[in-house]
Amino acid sequence: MSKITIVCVEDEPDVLDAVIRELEPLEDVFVIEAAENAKEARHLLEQIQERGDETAVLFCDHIMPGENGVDLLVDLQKDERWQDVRKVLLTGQAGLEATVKAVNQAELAYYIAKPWEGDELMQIAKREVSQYLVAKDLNPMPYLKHVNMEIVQDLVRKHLSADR
Amino acid sequence: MSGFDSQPIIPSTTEALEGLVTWARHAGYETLSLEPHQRMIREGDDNSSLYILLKGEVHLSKKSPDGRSQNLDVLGPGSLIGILSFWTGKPSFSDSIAHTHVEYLKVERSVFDSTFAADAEFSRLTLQLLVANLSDRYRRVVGLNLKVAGLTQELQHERNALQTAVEDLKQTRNQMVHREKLVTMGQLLAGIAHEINNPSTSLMQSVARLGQELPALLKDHPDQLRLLEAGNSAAFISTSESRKKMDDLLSAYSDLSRGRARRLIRFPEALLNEIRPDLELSKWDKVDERIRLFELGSSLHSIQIANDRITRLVKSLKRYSRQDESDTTDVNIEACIQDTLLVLNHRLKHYDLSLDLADLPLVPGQAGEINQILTNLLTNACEATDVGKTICLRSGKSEGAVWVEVEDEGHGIPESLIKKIFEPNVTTKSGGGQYGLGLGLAISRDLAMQYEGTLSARNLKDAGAVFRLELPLTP
Repeated sequence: MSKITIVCVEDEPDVLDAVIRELEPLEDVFVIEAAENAKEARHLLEQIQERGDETAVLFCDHIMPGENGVDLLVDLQKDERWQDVRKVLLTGQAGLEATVKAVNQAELAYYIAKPWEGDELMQIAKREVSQYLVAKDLNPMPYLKHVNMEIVQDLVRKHLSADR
Repeated sequence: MSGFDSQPIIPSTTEALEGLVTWARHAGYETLSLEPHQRMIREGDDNSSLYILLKGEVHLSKKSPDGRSQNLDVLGPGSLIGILSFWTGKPSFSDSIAHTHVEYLKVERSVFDSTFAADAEFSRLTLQLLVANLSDRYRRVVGLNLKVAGLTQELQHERNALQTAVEDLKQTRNQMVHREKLVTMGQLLAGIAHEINNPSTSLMQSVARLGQELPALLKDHPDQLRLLEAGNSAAFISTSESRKKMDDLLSAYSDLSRGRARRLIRFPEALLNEIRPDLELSKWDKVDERIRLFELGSSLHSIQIANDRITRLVKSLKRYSRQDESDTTDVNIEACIQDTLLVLNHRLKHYDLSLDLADLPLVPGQAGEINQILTNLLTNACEATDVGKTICLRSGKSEGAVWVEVEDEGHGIPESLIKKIFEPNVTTKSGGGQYGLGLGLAISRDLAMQYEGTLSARNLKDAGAVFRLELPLTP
């Protein structure tokens, strides 16, 4: 079965480490991958698709060497392969202009300001993965441990009755 | 008494006056007199007599709209008083009050009228007198008007001068407020640096102690000690390499979880090989124990690195703000540059920073203020340049001076502003910068001039600008 993947793009190693550690519990049922810059992120998305998996959520920093996060997200949105990927900005330094651009041109799903509070990151990851499941009408049952029940409840009902 | 011309009007009509006086005496009129402050005619009363002033001074006054008495004129011998009310029959125009001892003739209208009608010589003289009186008073009014015009102009000049003074004051006040802000910020920075320094020092000591105690604790368990030390010296791997290594491990051991694999890939090859048997047999408890020790060492390392950064930053912040110095000392410009670069790192990292710094001798000045100038120049360069482009920082020695240049690839300084860029309230930033007053360069130049230095700017041929700070070695 195709594995649902969450990708994190961040250029500072210790921050990336912190993000991954926070999201690790989700690896019970999902896969977490990481990239250090925009170029690698694109490559990674393709790799994931090539091996038959799908990327549900992309957490992206803004200030990175070379291409910045918002420009990456805007660019990805233009590619129909990645339009369904839920895009989240995770950054300490995106100004209003950049954020507006991300919202308007990249269909930004959420903005998390660094440093994030408590388990905000985990909650948003769960939420966005759940939105992805609903959007793609996927069977949520294997992932119930780590979804946002409110968002997927209709989907669950549908698959429960289908299973009968 | 105000508003007066102190010179009394004395109509120069000797012949006509003598004629009128002679006639009046013949007609039986006797000389009347008044003492000072006695009233001759009251404003607003009906008046049917013509008063001929023979001796003394009479003051004319009129009530102004706010009820106060406004002095109009002073009349001397030869003046006719009550002309208007006498001639037109309207109520008296003004108050006439004796100022000195006054002697006068008072002629009834009825008598005057009949003589005026009958005697041609009489009417000629009288008219002459009347006209002379009135024209003198008219002249006076004209004179007053001219004076008013002159005063109005003076007033206007004074107003303009005041306006300029107010503008200057505003300017100065803005500059002072701005400098106050900078001083306050400097104090805040120093305060924060100090506050952070204490817990930071405590952190450092605790970590150092931990770094000693843990190995001591484990000295009887060399295997565990090795894991701890391996974790403490392990480097971060790039994400692409991580992926490759993780894929290798995951494909080698089918039951291995991604979380464990992610940690194991940082193990040195030798240690990893020791764990492989446990991986084969899925002995996760033992694997986890090893990972835990490794991670402990790694966490210690992370704390040490992070605390190092804090310590360096605090040191630079303290040097940067230099609140403890208010006198001119010998300043190490290189240290200033390093401190400023560190403090501004969060902004400068978005740009390609190119440094070309020379060894510089000490320069008389104040480190805190020099840091302010450097900060101003660097943040201006950031504001003018697109992210990712180059900002150059150069320094060097010249004849008896030290110089620092900040060069950017930005939009340059508009030709119209090049001469004025160091004046207050001149800015090329659109939509309000951080302070929005356009004072940064003005203050920077002021600061440079304090130490007999200069701050200058020029545009580059292709694009961008260069700002140059020069400070003399001896003031």
